[in-house]
Amino acid sequence: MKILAVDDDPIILELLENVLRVVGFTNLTMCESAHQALEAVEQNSVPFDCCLFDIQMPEMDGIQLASAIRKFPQYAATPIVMITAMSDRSYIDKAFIAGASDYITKPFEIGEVHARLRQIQDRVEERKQNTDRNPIPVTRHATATVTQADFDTRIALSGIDGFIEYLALENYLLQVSRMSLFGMRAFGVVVPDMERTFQTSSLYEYQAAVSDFAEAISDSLKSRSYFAAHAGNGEFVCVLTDGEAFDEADFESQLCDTVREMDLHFCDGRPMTLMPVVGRPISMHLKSARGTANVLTQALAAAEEVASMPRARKVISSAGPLRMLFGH
Amino acid sequence: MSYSTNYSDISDGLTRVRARFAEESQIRQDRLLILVSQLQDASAAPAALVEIGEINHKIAGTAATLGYPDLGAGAAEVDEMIHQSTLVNPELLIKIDNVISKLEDVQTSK
Repeated sequence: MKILAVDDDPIILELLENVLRVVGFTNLTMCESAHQALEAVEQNSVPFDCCLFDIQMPEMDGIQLASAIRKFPQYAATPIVMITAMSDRSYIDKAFIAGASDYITKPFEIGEVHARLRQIQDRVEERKQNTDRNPIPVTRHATATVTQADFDTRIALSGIDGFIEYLALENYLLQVSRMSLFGMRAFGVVVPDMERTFQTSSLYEYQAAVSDFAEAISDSLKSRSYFAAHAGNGEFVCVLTDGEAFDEADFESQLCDTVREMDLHFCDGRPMTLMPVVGRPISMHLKSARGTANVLTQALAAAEEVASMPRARKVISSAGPLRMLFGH
Repeated sequence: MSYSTNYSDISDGLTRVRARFAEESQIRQDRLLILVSQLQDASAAPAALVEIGEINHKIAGTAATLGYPDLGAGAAEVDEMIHQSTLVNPELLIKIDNVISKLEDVQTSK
């Protein structure tokens, strides 16, 4: 695995180099500044598989660097791990908004760094071996008919405000749970019948619809502080981080209004008759670390329960072109 | 890829990094002493405080991993205090002094 590590403290770089080499990660590029790192990214024809960034650095910090790296198309899904002494919630939030996939707090335990890098190595290898499941939309032709694997894939919708990868959302919650989850709530959004509706559609059409619904969620949550992720198929999970009240019925009504205004259609001109439903929120302040890992699943299960009720089958009938937001 | 870990290799590597950290501790201690003296000068104090924060931030990030948890915790406290407020108060000076003493301990223990 090809790793890029960036920290303005040479002692940390030397320590990281030792820690990584001893478990077999020998393809390392160590940089003492964000600008050096960007040069390394531009000069390497084979992209790095994983990035490790400090946050507090002079001139350009690690959060700005993560944001800059994400703008390179070949780094859209590359794991970016922040290794930092900045443990404030505000820094964690900013890092994940900028595109971080994970967060390790300094001083780090050597075993913890090993464990996280091994998980990333497994993901990188899985991604390389099974490109059909890669969320980067370059591996399959967009006109191909959508497959079960496509439905199961969690699409990275990082171009949409508030949306991060599902695994990054899990990592965010685990990191924040070490301080306080007080006031945070998770809820699921399910678009019933997504799979049945799109089973003969093109990959492009399905992914465009997923993006459209994600845009609708993002638009309906624009007054809130939140993270959201696609959970595969027509399912999304959202985490409200602002501690303010949330009424799922009001939100569902607002979300459905947004979807109606978007006036969604299939490529052949048929109006799309799908409407999202929203599950009850799961309060997170009493969750243990293990409970935190399960809360997203619980939130989705609550939304699926609502989706299984007859009242969830709603229809929209207005006309207009399908919004093709995928690829933004 | 094999995930077997040879912890003697880690130990060798850490010994080298610890030696470098100890060398750097002398430089950091000297610099902190200069910066603390600058805190009495109203015009120099803001920049000195920022640099004291940066030095302690770096110490906090590595000391515990290298076997100096008390130094790391003390440096983290200084870093946090400076992050929260730019006021120089006696409590902050005591904590900086504590870090300076522990940096000296690192050099004598190498």
